[in-house]
Amino acid sequence: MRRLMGLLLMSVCLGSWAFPAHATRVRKLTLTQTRDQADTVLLGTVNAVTTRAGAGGKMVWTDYQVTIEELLLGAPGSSAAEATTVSFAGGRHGALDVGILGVPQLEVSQRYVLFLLARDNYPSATVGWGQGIYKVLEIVIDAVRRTVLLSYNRQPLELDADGALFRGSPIVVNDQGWQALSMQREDFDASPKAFEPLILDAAGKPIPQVLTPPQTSAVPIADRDFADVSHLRQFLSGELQESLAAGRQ
Amino acid sequence: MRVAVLVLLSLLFVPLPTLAQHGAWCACGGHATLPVHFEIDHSATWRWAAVREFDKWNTYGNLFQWSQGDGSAGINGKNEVIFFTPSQSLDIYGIVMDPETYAVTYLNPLSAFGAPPFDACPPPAGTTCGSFTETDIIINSAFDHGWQTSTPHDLETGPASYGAALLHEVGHTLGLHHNFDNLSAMNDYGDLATIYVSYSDSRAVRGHYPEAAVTLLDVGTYPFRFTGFQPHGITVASVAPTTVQAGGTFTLANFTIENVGSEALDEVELRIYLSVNEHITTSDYLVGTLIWSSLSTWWDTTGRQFNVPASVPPGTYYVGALATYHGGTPDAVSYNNYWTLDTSNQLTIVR
Repeated sequence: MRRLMGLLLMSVCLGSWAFPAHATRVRKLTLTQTRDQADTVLLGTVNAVTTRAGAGGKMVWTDYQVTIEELLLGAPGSSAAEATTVSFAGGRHGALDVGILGVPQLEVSQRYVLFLLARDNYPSATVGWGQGIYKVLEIVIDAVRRTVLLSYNRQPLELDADGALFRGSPIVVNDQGWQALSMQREDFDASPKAFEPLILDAAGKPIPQVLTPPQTSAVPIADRDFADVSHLRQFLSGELQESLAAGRQ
Repeated sequence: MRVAVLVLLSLLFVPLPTLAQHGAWCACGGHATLPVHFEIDHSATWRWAAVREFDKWNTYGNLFQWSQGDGSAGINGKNEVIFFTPSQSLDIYGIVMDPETYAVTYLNPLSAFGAPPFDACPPPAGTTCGSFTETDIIINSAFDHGWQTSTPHDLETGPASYGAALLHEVGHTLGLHHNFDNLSAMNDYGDLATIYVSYSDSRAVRGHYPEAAVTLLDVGTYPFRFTGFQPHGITVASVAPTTVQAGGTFTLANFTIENVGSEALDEVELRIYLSVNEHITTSDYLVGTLIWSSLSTWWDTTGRQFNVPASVPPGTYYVGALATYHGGTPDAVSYNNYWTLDTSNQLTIVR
């Protein structure tokens, strides 16, 4: 019963999570590039959000106050900080209501791993906009509690058979709990996809077709080897490598 | 007086009926008056590249007008497109674009794009949308891989496609949000896929701006299919094997064809050719024709087999396709009627 309640609670909490935002047109980065570009990587919880006008009143900035639980990567000496401010362009402050489209948003009370840039005035304080943001979630799958680091576009960090880190296929929460996300196209019409075509050769004769279903690498969600913060620590220190196999970015 | 001001202010935030988000497409907010006027603050080469992308959206609605700007841009109530260095964008807009960011769109008021704010589809329940007063597209002149006006095949390391970046940002200025569940210019694909206004996009424009919608016939075909998130949201079309005997068979997989226009299409054909150059024409070697009696959207997931006629001389050929309707009629929108696969998917014919 407690497990069921836990799952229900988690579902309710996460059900309010809107479809993931993602950066506007930003170059795709590998995990290694994301790590290498970060000035600091921290584990922490957003505890407040405020807005302010930037210099000259040209831009509004949304400031997230983050309580630091652990500095995972960063300059020596900076680990003494207990809290930091993470800023993103855009918001409403007084009469100012301006912004940059596609800038990431964080949630108050949510625990995150953040790959941060130290420079001021970037629209996104995180590397590669949403690419430097991971939610730290405790989820229950088949009655087993597991930690998942979920990217901004819902891809969990996972370990392959060789123990290398990669961004897995998206997962989503619904009434049945956590499930692999199956991509849904819009419900365009009564017939969303046209019927199969007739295929003729150059002389106008039908070509017999052998239709081979596409290979699928779908692994049941309970069998997926999700990485947790300890694996991320190893990756950040260079002890764990990124898997760059096809389709694993 | 105070009441009147409050009423006036509240009216400013009442969502305009035609600009409200709709479940069938992913848009919220937009310009209250069409066509939207943009100043293009580019040199001639880039200006015409920009016009090409505005015209792609204009194909489906009377949405944009443009004029040559004076080479400057700013927060001035005008809609503008410009290349800016990080220091220029800091000086004018108060932000610095990092080297990984292609371009950004500045919006005033931001809340018109959705309040409470949301990014990708679908909008949360209760979202309100409003009217934009200024949309500026700032292209990052310090993008670390540079820019080109053509569409590169190299998604990872080559210069970025200016057209792909601009088509996406211009879509935002129409109120279109990110659309990760569909083949869409508003997805975050690499350059290859983002050069097309898709079935999903044209429906969004027609639905969001019905008074501006254009009636047209348009069949679109693309050398990839939508797959979702990884790594670029698409799988690029390919052939296998890449060497066959004349008279033999090869498989072509992962291509798409859609009815992007507003009207029903009949007898849609996709003709597959082998060509000695990148430019596919009806004079090339026809290897097969796919025929649909009617078409909404269709994509290959299994691979389709084609026979190489015995008359095709030995050699290495580009593989490409031409789309027509009504028994061979080309439509008026030509840029999406054909494609050619790159050299990694050429077909070598031997005897």
